[in-house]
Amino acid sequence: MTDQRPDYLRRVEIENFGCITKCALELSPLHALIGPNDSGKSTILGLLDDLAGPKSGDAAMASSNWSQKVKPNTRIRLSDSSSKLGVVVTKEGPEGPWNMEVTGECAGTPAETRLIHNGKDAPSRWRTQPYANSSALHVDILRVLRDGAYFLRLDPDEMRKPAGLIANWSSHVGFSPRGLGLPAVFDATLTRDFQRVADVNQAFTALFPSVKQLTLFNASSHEKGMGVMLLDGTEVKADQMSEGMLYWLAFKALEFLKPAGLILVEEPENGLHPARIREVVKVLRNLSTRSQVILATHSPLVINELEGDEVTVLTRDPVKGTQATLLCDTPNYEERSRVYQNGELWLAYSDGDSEAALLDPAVVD
Amino acid sequence: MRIFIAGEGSNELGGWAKAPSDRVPPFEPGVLTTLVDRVAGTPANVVGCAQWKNLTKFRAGERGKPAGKGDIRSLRAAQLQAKEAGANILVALRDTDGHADREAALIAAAATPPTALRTVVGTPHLKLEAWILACAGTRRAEEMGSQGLTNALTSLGIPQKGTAAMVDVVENCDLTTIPPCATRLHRFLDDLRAALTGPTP
Repeated sequence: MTDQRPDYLRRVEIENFGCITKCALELSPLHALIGPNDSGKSTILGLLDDLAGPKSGDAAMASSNWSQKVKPNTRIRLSDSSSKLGVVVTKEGPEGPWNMEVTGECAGTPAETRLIHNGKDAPSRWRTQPYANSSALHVDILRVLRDGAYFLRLDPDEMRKPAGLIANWSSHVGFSPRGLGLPAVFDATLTRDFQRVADVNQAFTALFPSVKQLTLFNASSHEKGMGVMLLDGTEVKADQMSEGMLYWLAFKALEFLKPAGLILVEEPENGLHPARIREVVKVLRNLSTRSQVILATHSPLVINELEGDEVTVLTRDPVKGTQATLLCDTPNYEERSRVYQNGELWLAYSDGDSEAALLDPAVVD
Repeated sequence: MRIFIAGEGSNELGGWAKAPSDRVPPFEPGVLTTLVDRVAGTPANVVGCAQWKNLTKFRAGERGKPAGKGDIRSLRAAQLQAKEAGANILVALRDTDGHADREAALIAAAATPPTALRTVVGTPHLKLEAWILACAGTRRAEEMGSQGLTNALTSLGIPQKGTAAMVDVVENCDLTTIPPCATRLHRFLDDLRAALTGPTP
């Protein structure tokens, strides 16, 4: 059987960006970044989101991320199985204009992409806004960047809000990184493909047995709201729905949308009962068959569901800056992983700082 | 011989039961360290310690797993810690709490360590107090219920959490006169003796 999985970012090298001095990551289709606070997880997700270009909402977040973190001599290199993209930034002083050189290589052959950008603005919409020389920035050489990204930092309050009706389904339909617009996505999908929503409803009620069905209602003449009907017939609107339900529905709703190259998720475990985390990771793993999914998480239960080469431990060295190590490359991993699941292993040796017991080979024979 | 110890708490482990940052040598003895010293004939070279409750067990949806599986995982974690601490032997005590399947699983797992590490596991009937009573010469201690153990211990003037008093009993008893009915304690002492006198792994 042929593997239909699209190509994905295999390697990301970053120099002089935000808290990162020099760091290289080996990635998998479903990949998690773990590590202490302020170790660079969000910086990396934000960078990838900037490179892929925001698909909807909160573009400002992406652009400010770039503006604040780019430095003189920022260098970024990304590669999938056959193509490479290089970005080199030079900057004249902290507030000065910066120049950017982008190079591409496909199957070992240099691609035509080579472009210098002069300006002070952040390239928050790389592929949609032409730059000074009227040429779009060709990061498209990597499919995952060409197909854009969904960046999710879900907020239950945003997911609960009624959302404006979607008149015309297009590739731009989606919900915001915080989940605003979720009811409208379900509504529009229901209109276009009843069976898909019915399937989600079936899985949803199996996971949450007190629920008879997912419901959509008119919150106003132009807005849809979401809720559930309980087994006893009680109608519960979204503002009363549990956070676990909302998170699960948001991740499932990604299946309705146009596949993005990247799905970047901050802390997918938020609001979820520990026993539900496995289900959410299942949803994310399923999504990873069509989009690369990269998570930033603090949950050992999320990591328990992943393989050792699907997890990167980030730490922040006072001198070297952010450092990345695949969990399966940590000392004594083979033996430790026979005793612990991966999340347990992380927790057993983690100190929330340098993670020395997890990463220092000196502690192992 | 470098020894790593594992147990329930301060009664077994003495000063080793404290958090690493709170440990100040010389450590107060516990029942386990005292038994090791007595069998070895010299103060044991303890290089590290694990408490069962502190070994990471962090899984959701583990219903219906085979009996004793969690205990085996805890033992494997202790063995791993022992190896990483550079120990040759792991000596551990785990109360049975009346679970025969736990006892059987632990003994079987100890017999097949995944690494070159000698493992000796003692499984006091219900709890450690049964072995204190046996060391004090009380017969059929390993057949008593929880209340019986408490009453018998009280009648000897040993308080429930009295680590020093328990250690005193173990330190001053004649190991050769422990009642034969204390089969678990005898098995543990035999295994410990063999481990301490055998070739270094």
